[in-house]
Amino acid sequence: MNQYEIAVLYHPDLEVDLTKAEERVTKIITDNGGKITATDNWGKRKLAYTIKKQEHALYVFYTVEMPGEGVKKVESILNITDEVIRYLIVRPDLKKIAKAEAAKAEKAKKQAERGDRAEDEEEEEEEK
Amino acid sequence: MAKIFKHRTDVAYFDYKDFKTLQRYVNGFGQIETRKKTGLKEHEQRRLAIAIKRARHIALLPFVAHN
Repeated sequence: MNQYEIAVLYHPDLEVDLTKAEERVTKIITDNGGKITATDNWGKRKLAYTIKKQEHALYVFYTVEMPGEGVKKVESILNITDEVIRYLIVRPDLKKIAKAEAAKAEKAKKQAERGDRAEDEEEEEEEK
Repeated sequence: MAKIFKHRTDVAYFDYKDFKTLQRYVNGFGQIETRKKTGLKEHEQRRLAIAIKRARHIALLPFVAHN
């Protein structure tokens, strides 16, 4: 089982009632041994370029636990699903993300240790 | 050539969803900036390029801007 991140762009006409299309996609994922652990709905966004003659799309990101064999099947079914105008399946580099977050936390900690003086200086700079 | 990003390594992981950060690393035409300009390490630049290409695929970033 690997962790995958599936980005799905739904057809903009589904904005009124997305539940049916979402159910369909979740069924595709669960049928192939996947388990959705998190969803992130961005709502309707303007596309950087037109896809299937559409200027907008509904962005939904799923975090999925799925065996590797399921990916190809999910891809092939999403290709022929009319509600989905574009999708992207990636394996996020969990080690790198954890490392990056640790580095970020350490940086914040160091900044806090340096105390209020450093923050004051920053504020002054902003004022200028 | 002067590096355009002096405070570079504040981004340790390039996420394709974080298009606002990625936008800093493309020029007006939507092309990825060179390492000379971004000031990134080689492996960082590689991760950046992958992230930008993924963002382009889901239309968060343009392939060609101002067309």
